[in-house]
Amino acid sequence: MLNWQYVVALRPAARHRRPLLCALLVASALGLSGCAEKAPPDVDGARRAVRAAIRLARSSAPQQARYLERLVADAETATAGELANPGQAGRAQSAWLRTVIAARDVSRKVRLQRDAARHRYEVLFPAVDAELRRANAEIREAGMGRREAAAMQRAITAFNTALRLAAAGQHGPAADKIEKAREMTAVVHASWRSVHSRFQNPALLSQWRSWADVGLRESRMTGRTVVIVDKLRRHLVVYQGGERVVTFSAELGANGLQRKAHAGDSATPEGTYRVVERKQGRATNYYKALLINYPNEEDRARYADGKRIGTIPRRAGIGGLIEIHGEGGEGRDWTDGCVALTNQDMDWLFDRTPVGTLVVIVGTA
Amino acid sequence: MRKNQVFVGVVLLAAAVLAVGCAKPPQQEIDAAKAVLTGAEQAEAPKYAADAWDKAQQAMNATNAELEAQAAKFALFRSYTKAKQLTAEAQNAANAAKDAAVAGKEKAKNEARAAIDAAKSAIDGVKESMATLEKCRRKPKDLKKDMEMMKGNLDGYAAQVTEIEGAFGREDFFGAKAQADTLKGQVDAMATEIANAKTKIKC
Repeated sequence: MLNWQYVVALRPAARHRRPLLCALLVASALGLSGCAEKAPPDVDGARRAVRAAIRLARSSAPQQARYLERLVADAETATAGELANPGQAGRAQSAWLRTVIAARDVSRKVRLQRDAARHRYEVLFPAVDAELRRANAEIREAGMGRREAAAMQRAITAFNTALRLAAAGQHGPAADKIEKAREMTAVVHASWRSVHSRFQNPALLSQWRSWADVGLRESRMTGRTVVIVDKLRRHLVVYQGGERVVTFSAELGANGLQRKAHAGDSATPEGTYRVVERKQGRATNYYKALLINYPNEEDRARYADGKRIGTIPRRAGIGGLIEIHGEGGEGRDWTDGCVALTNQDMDWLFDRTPVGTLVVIVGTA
Repeated sequence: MRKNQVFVGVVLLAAAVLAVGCAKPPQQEIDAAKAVLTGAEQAEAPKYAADAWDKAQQAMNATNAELEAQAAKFALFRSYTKAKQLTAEAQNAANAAKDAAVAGKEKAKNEARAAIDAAKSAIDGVKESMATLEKCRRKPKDLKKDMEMMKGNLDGYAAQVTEIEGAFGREDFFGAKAQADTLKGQVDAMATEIANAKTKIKC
């Protein structure tokens, strides 16, 4: 406290020093605040916590990160203000408290989003992985074409990109890519289902069973070899005396699950046929071959109907040269409509199949 | 005489008060630093130059803190010398963040473009190989199915290039690069398949 009585009662001799004294007194009074010992607010912990929250939020929630940065700027200003003016004690603390609470909320929200994305990815991953494997098996089957191959490629890229993103911790975009992969595998599945739908048709099933029965009856009655090809199962079954002797894996035309209608459709015919020629050596490019009498009467009638109603292209021929031949064993349908066996199986069949042998080709039986 | 002395003293004191009391914040420099910081943000420094952006933020916070500290003082004792220095530092840091952001974005863009170009070039290479394969005299019928599927694969790759270009156009450079790298891996695998097929049929 200033002693104003003392200042007023100064002796006349000392009065010439009054202005300087006054200035010093004022200055010391004003400077008191500057000289006072200040305890800086301890905000280092809060600073670190908020910086960690900003780093966490920056990639997935940039707006939230920016909001926190603004709060930090305010809190730093408040801290500096409090250091300079202890009269404002508590201002920095409340600013940092607000910032830390906001940072905690942002961190929680970002973590929840990340956890949700990771969970979504982890749930989707095994399901889409399985679908991709199924589609990969389906794409190798007969009837799958260029459109399905394109969809499959897109599915594979999306899946691999998802793996890459997930490895980098970006589960949100990774889950989006996995969804994309699923969308693309669905194209393959749909085509595959479409190709296979005819195998649930009761009328067709009944027709195929009746053809197979004709073959079995002939084999039983004559004791001869009869060959029955089940297209859906990719089986070639050999019967002798009505008894099943052996079953071989068979490969079909590239579009072999469809019934052959014309030349160049890569479909495998369905019906009852006879072996009309046995080929080996230079006579065939496929090790050994049994030529069958496609087209038969029914095939010709169907071809004519197809032409008439326009389901068969005007310039397409009916086709021919359908054989059971070797060079198979590729594990996929690849021929132009023939039935392919491995060379070993072809050796066995060729030795027991004379010209005139009945060959029944059915969708499934 | 005494009156004169008192008068001179008061005048000197007033002059000193005015001289010191006139210290003002370096507003022009502060505004310039803020503008540069905004520019750095618009250049996406938080995304492409996170460390430089953090440094710029801290420098700006230090400037604001110093300004606040001076503002809390009595006008006679304010000094903005340090604030000026800090503002200059903040401006430099903001400039550095902006430059780093521009460079970082350009780098990401270039990397994505290079990855897309590499994938496109690989696809072109596969197309050429396919054309050669199609011209081969010896073409077993099992290859026909393979070639149909390969053409389908190429269709799929072409569609993906469009998708990736879309991501690039949206400035999703990291996403575009990841997808382009993956695509190239698959195209390279197909190139190997075609090469093997050529060897098999002695094309």
